[in-house]
Amino acid sequence: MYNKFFAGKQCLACLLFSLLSSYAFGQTSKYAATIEAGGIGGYGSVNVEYTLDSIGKLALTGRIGLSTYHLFDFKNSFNPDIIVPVSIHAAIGKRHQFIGGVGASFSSMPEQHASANQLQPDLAFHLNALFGYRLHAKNRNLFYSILFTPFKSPNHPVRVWGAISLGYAF
Amino acid sequence: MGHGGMGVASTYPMNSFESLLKCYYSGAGGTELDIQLTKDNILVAFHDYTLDEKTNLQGLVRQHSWEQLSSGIYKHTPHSSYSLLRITDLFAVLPDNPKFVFSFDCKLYPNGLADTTYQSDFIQALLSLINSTPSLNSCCIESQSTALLSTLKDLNPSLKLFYYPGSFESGFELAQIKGYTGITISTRSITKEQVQKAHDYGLQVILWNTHTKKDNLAALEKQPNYIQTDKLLHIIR
Repeated sequence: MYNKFFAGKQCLACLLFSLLSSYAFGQTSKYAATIEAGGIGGYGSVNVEYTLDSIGKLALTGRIGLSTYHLFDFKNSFNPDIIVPVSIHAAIGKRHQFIGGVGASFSSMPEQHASANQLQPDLAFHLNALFGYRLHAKNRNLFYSILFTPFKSPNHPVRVWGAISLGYAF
Repeated sequence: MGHGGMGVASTYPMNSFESLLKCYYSGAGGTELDIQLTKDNILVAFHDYTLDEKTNLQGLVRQHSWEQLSSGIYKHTPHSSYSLLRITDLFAVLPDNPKFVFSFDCKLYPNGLADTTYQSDFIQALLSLINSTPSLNSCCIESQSTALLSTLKDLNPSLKLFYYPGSFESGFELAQIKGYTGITISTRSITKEQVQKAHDYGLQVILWNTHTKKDNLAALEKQPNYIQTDKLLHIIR
């Protein structure tokens, strides 16, 4: 019981120390949520980011999101397009960050297939890159990004694309 | 009527299977669709002169067989792979509904001067489609070519033929002389009084180039027979 008591206190001390250290050395929060217009979600997406690791001004972040074009298909049934963009990027800087990364998106979109004479989901895998700039607001929670996000879909040339987003770190 | 289905601003490409089906199931009274002829005389739904800008293929529709075009995908919406549509496939899926009006905008793009049989092939393919599809008993046929329209009229006098003029005056005169059903014209090129004049002389009027709600309301005010609109859901409501 004595060891558990001190183990608990040690955990609490470590947690407090790491939180204070983050604040003292200006590290960003681990999690963030973003709303993005354009980008690898297509016309827009909502995303969650997690900082995997950081050393000084360099951070490595993973991101997963969700997007759609239609909730109802062309026969007016609830049958949404589902796009899941996933990416990983490195960011350099503190308040002003430059970002570079790669990712992929998985899509399931209902399409009418003449040969099968029926509506079927078209499943596809798309690759993308992302490069851009992120500005963290002075209150340290809000941030804004502008990105160049070219992506490659099957049977298509590389699509020149971009994004602007608003994020909140927590 | 829809414009190529759900119109230019839809996330479904104009003239695609999905856009036309969406138009049908949205409760519209009909749709316009652009039709072109392939190398092997198959009618496909496609608007542009070449395939390059809108699809992953190049060249004219007429330069390709249907088998080659069937692998064509619109570049329209990210992540999507909506395909080019063979017209007969559309009618194989849609239920028979004589109340839903199809208006075929005939895009005549032959493969050069040597393509001397283009027009006759086009007419044959179109008449074959109409004769084999009950839903097309009251379809409209639009063209800038009086040669095409007049030949169709000779072969089937019951067809509803609409001339596509540069101005109301030239279209009005020619449609009367040739005995066409009416004219199809931009809403910006015709007044309410001119629509009334056409009606007084027994001509029907199709208006197009309506992209906004304001355009829809202005076109409705002119009381044409049909409006081809890009804001279809607004006009249905």
